[in-house]
Amino acid sequence: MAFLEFSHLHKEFSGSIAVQEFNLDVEQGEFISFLGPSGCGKTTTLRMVAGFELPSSGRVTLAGRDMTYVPPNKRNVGMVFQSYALFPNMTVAENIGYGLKVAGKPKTKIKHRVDEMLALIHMENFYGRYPGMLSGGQQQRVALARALAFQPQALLLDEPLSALDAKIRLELRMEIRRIQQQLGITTIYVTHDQEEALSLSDRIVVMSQGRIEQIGTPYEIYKTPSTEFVASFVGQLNLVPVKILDMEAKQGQLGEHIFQAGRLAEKFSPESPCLAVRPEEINLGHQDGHNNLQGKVESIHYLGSIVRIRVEVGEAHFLMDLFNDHKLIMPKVGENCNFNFPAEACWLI
Amino acid sequence: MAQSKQTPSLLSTNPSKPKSSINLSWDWLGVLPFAFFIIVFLILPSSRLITDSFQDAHGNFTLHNFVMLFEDPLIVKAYYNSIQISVVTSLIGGVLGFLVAYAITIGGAPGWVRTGLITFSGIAANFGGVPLAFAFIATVGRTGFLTALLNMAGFDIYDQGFSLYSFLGLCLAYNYFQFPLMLLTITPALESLRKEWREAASNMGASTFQYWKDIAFPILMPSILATMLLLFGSAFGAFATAQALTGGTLVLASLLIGTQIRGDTMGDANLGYALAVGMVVVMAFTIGLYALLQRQTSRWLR
Amino acid sequence: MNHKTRTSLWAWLWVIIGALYFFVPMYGTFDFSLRMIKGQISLEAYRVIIGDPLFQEAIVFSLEMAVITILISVILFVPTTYWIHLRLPKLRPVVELITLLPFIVPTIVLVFGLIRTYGGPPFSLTNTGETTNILLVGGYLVLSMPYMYRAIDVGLRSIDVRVLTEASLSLGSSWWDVILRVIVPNLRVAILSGALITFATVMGELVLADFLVRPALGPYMVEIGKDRVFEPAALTIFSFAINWAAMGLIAFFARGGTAQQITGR
Repeated sequence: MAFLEFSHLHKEFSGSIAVQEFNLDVEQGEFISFLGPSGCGKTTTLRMVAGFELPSSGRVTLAGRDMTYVPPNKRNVGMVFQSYALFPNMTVAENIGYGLKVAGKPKTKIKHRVDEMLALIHMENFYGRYPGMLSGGQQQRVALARALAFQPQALLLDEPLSALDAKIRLELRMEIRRIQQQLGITTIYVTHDQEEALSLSDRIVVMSQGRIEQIGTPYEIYKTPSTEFVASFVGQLNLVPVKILDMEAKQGQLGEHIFQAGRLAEKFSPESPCLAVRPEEINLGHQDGHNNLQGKVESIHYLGSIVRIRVEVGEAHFLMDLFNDHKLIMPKVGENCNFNFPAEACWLI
Repeated sequence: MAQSKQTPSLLSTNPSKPKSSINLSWDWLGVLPFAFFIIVFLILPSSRLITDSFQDAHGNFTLHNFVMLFEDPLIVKAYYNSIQISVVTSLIGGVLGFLVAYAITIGGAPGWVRTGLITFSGIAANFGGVPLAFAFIATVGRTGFLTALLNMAGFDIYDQGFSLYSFLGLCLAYNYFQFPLMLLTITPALESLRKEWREAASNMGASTFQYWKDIAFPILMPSILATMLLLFGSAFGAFATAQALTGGTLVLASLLIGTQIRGDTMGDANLGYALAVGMVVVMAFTIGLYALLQRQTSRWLR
Repeated sequence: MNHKTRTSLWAWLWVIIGALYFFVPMYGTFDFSLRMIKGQISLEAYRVIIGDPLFQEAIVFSLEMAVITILISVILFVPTTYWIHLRLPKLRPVVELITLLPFIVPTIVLVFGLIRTYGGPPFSLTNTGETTNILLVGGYLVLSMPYMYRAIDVGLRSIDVRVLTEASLSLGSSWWDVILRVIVPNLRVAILSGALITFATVMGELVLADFLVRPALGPYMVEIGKDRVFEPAALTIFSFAINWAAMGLIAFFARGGTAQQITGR
């Protein structure tokens, strides 16, 4: 029996289905991300764990106990909100200690725990400050400490970093992972940012329109996406319509180029076959043994460490990501160029 | 718009800083009409009353009038009654207004109910004076609609000691504009109680009671108190309703000033002025506290 | 959350109590006003009122005063508020304090001061009806100032005054053009709200009119209330209808304006 189980979870809101047939087993101490675009049902599912939404059907079990209809204030899970939700009339210390105060713990114990938590988030000097005087990042750290202070069985985070600046987001991301691993607490993290999900999680649940698209480790999700949605949502992906020459040998044709694909996707659609290849797999120039194509450089996007080139091949176009090191020779817009990618790096979908 | 020739400072090149003093004097011309209006119709009359209140019948400076405010039994009673009714109606109106506001926000009453009550509150909050008095006379006066209805059910409220033309009756009438005012002011405050606070509290194990005790009420308190002060001021300064309903049987500060204006009933004109100034002092104090609390509110409830 | 149903019952209770408090007096008054002729429902009370020459005089007078007050207040407050927003933003807290003054100085005290200051020599404004009207309108202006200012202030804050003015000036318009053609049209709803509240205030006002002895609607109502029974109820409904119409128009034009616009606080 897994630590946290979702079984056949289903949620409807006056006619429209928010979550359907959601099944997941989470082991103790795992860091799971729910990843998907807005409206895919990830937050709704999280809220069903917290008790703020009741499922239309299905079950949620935590540590062997059926939690599906338990009131939210009796579930013993800690939640971190996107908007921090710190109580403005309480100091940092009072916020963090609130869960313990509500549970009737003695003052000395609360103080001790609060000190512990402040040390954990490296904010010892902020004991008596009010949330209004803190920056976004600081508030979110306090919110995290608050959610962990009363030692819940699981930690739930609802897009906790979306409201923060990019730099703070990066710092805080690592903080969250560090703390999670230090405490070993089972965590569910909801986000629409694939970079966050990929860098933080033990496993990712990719969702779209209320359904699970794929469950897997970050590596699996990225390298072997099982559906077109996952492939294009996680990381960049070139999806080029092609003609199939030989299904068995996974050979296809694009314009006058013949190419070899590495595999056939699970959800391959024969009516509209496409070639899928990640931009970072494509290189400039000609390489024996690889698929070699030719096209016209349509535009060049300078992204700092990466240069993204958009190449047109007849009607289709490819995005190519090249490392911006000193060896790079930049083509010119409008020029013809050769590019290549290995067969194993692409697939038919 | 001449400027003295000197090395341009950072201030003068910054467009958002106040302009040089010469510019300022032209700008101030624009508020001259308004200033004139305020001075003529508000400042001068008020200051006249203030200066007169410090004088005796011969025009000499004296504090005697203000001393009398605390010694003359009629005046003391008038202030006492005024304060009493203001406190009572601000409490009752405040509590009722809060409960109804709660019902239409967090309580989840349907949208049409909410719109209806808010619109009606907008009208009722400004409804006062003689029409309000008439309305209550027609409803719970001796031959009023409700009185008759209750009579038919065998319940004579006047026999039971109730009278509209008393302190209680005036309270009832005052609340007609007190509680809508509370409703209108508190509803936005209740709405700005973030849903996440409730959820976070619940998440940490707090019951509904604990949430209200530890979080919601403390956050709302400045707003509630501020509005109650507004209610207090409303009742304290009210004249028309009180006169129409009690006609002088209940001694109130505003009514006393009224009789003073009509004819010097207290035998000392300057005492009347002191009365008026006393009223202004009470109101100023009330508004001052109100402004302080408002600032506190905006800190926590955006 | 599953305690929602219990909250709703509690909510309905207070909604009903609130609604009753509002409607029972109004209904009672309305019922009362229809019973002038014994034993039957009629509009007799209203007929008597409308036919009363004193009523006609009172309502005409009040309407005149209301219109004059509204005109002066628009001409006075709109440019002033605009100017403060644009050129003297530091004055805003001062002006907001000033708008609290009518509350700090209750009407009864204000009228006392007006009579005392301008009643005797050298002004002697209370000697004739026309000159007393100056004091009356002045008083009305003071009463309506907070509402007017708030309404215009809210309206100005919702449009970027500085940008609009600069854009307009850079296109070659004069100051008057800016005010009349750019600012005022954008403030239509705000001005209308302020005007309607002022209207309702003036029509229902008693203290100023009574103590300055002017034949307005308020003093008329007091007179009628002295020895008639049914007519006062009709007048109340009438007064209520005026308020309702004013607020209804505001709501219509503002399409769901904030409570601040309605109460002016």
